[in-house]
Amino acid sequence: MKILVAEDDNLIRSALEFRLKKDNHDVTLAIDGKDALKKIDEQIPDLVITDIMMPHISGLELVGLIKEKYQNQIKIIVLTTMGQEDVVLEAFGLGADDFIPKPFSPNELSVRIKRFAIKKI
Amino acid sequence: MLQLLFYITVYTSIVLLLMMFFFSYLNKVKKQKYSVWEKESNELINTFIFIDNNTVLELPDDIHTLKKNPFFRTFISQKIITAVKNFSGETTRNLKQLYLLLELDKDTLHDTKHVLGHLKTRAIRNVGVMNLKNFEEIVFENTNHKNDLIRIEAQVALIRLTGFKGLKFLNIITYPISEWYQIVLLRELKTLDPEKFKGIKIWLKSFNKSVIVFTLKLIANYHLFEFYPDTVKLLHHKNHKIRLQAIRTLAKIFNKNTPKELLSIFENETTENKIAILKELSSFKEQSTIPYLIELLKQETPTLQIVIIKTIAKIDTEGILLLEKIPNAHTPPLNNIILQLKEEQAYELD
Repeated sequence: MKILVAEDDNLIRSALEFRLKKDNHDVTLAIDGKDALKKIDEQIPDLVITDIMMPHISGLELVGLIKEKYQNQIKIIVLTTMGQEDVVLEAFGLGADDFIPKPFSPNELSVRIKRFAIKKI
Repeated sequence: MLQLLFYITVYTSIVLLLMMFFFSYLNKVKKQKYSVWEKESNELINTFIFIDNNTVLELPDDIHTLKKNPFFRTFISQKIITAVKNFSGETTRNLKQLYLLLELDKDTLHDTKHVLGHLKTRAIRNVGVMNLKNFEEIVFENTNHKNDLIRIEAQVALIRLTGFKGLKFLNIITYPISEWYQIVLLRELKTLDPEKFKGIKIWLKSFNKSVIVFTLKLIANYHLFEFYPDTVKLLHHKNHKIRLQAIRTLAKIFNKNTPKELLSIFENETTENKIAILKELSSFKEQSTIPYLIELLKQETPTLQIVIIKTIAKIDTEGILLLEKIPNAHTPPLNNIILQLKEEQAYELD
């Protein structure tokens, strides 16, 4: 699967890259929402994993912009902080397909992505 | 003279330029060094995050020299803390193991006794995040620290280390817990599985008024119905903030007697507490309280009359009809209030 990870924290970004590559996904990294948008237009990934709090363009804005342009062609998983129920609801309202609250288990993320991969097949 | 001024200017410019180059070079070296550290620490942390369950956790050889550098230790310590905050499950255990293998707990121990407040605060926070249980005693000692940041971090860390048992600091604290820090503590407790509280009765008798208020919030949040009689007693406490919280708590553990209990203290309460009582009464929707509320309309100020009328209307959907039947309903200010309420209801229906 072609996956784009939009996360401003270097460590989390590299950890996600490490795990996703281990699962044989084709991974692209973006350091913020603006960078993500540029790379999405270039590569059109199957799945975007995005953090909510990011500079320039927030995760919520990114969800809205992706769904407006690509509709269901690109699936989106948002990473939220525990207890941000209102943010999750807003993300779903904008078209997000799934969410994972932080702190999260990399294994759980891997399983959720597999679900999307199966649906794609 | 002019020539001397010229030489001084040239000399100063050269010195400034050299200094600029020197600091720019230092900054570049620092950036390069941090970039290498960034890469090395990310790789190390990722290795520990995704290591197989059966593998023995140990440090790679190349990190042994680097780990002696105090700046690198602070750098990687913050990285590990960030990772622990973001990842869960088995990952956290591995990251804790990495923290211990790098002997970062020794730095934490050192900093928990540091004279600089911000370092002490950070160290105590790290104890909580890394769940370093052997630091419990030091953390407990700081739960009544005179510095409020250190104090709250210690209180939160103690809850993280020992769960609900960590609330034992309520037995000893002399400093007040601010409204904001009460929210912080309650949020921290929210992540734990509810269990039987020990100490509620003692905390309700604390000399520290904020402890009583916080305990009342615990009773409300966890619906501890067995403390209903104790909460009723606090409706008569001399401190109005404690009485206010007791009113709010009773509404969370209410029974058929609660409206009566609240109305019994209404007359002598502060305006803020009277409004709180009315708010709770409107949620009980107990018809039997309406005659008493109508009676209150005769003696209260216009501000409270508005709240009372709104309460009656919320208790009974036909409340306005009842209000229109009372003797002074057609004279100011009641007629105006009733008219306003009618308009509000019409607006809501639209």
